[in-house]
Amino acid sequence: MTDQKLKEILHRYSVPEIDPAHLRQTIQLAQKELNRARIYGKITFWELLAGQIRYISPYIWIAQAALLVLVFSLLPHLSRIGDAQQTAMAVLSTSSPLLALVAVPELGKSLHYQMWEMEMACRFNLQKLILLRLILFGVADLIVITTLLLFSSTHSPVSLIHLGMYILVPFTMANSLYLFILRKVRGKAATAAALSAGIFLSLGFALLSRFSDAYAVTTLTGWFLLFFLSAWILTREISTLFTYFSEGEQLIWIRS
Amino acid sequence: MWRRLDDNQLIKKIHQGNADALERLIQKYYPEIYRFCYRKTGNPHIAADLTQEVFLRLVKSLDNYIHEGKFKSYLFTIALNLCHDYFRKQPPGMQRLDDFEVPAAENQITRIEQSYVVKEALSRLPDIQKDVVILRFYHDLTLPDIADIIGANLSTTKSRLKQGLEKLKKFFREEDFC
Repeated sequence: MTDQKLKEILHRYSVPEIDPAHLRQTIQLAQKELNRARIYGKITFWELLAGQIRYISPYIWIAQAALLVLVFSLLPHLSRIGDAQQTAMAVLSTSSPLLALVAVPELGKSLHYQMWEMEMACRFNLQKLILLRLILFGVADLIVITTLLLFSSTHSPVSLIHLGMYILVPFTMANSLYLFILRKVRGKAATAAALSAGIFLSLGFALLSRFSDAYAVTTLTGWFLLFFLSAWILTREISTLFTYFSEGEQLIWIRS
Repeated sequence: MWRRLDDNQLIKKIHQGNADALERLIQKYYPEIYRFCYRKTGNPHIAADLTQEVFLRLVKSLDNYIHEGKFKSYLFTIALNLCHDYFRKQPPGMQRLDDFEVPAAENQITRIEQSYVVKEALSRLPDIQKDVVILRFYHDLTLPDIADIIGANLSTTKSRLKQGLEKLKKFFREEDFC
């Protein structure tokens, strides 16, 4: 049997006529989709990020600035009265969970007000929005942490690396805890729980740094290990949170 | 006016938001994509739905579309992926020949039977061979274009075609079908 003959045989398998109504519907739907894309246009990542800033409450930036001012005013004063190293540890370790706490109410909004459906019907999906917000808060926190470190180093005999660890370890631990609470606790209680946890964590670090010798004499290697451990936990928590949002999206899609 | 424009010019117009150019492009390729989806699924309704999805996906992905090969190959790649997704989502044992539908225009028993036998022959091929045979014999695509669509190299594509044709010839000989 030749290929030509085979081709002739294969063409005996005919296809039903096209439904003109379905063709028209396809054209209409595609044109609708095109118009939608045209309204939105294509925007860069930076435009996307800048666009999100206006949706974040200004109180967040005010609270972060207030925290900075508080540390700026307390640190020089406390350093004069007590041991400079312990004071630096106490102030930085106490302020870093509070710094992370500032963003919690904003992150919790989607859960508190059941905004999933609304956000999913919008231009970007929930995961993308949360990621953008996390990036924005992360950048803001980074600026505040750098400012705190530079300021603390001028008022403390402790090395910059040590100071960095005193602030980064509690900061990453606090962030992991807040994200865990936001994921586990439903409704408005999530923010309340995270706020309470943040205050307790902050007080805990303050007490620990003030009274525990072990905390004060922990070597730099020990601090690095703690930092990598807490950073690993935070990374896992962010990943779990995104899976959780993804499952939430699917759940709502199935329900609708 | 639209008939004079080639695919790249139409896509350029669509990029500028021209809905008429999109209509022209859909009208041009709808029949071919529909026939492909029908031969893959064997069901006119599913084929129509998948064809619609192909064009919606096309519009959504136009922003990222970079012209490297033939536009037609790009469309067939979307169609092939959607057909594979469709079969993946089907429960085992619920695929292909279960819902054979007679083409509306056919009213001669022999033609219907022949159509059925060819469909049966194609359904016996593994997907990787069936895709190549359909694209080569029903859509007259070249082997390099088919290789591009299925994401395989040229020698693999040739080998799949050869194996598929041998199986089909054997089947038709056994059925005494000529």
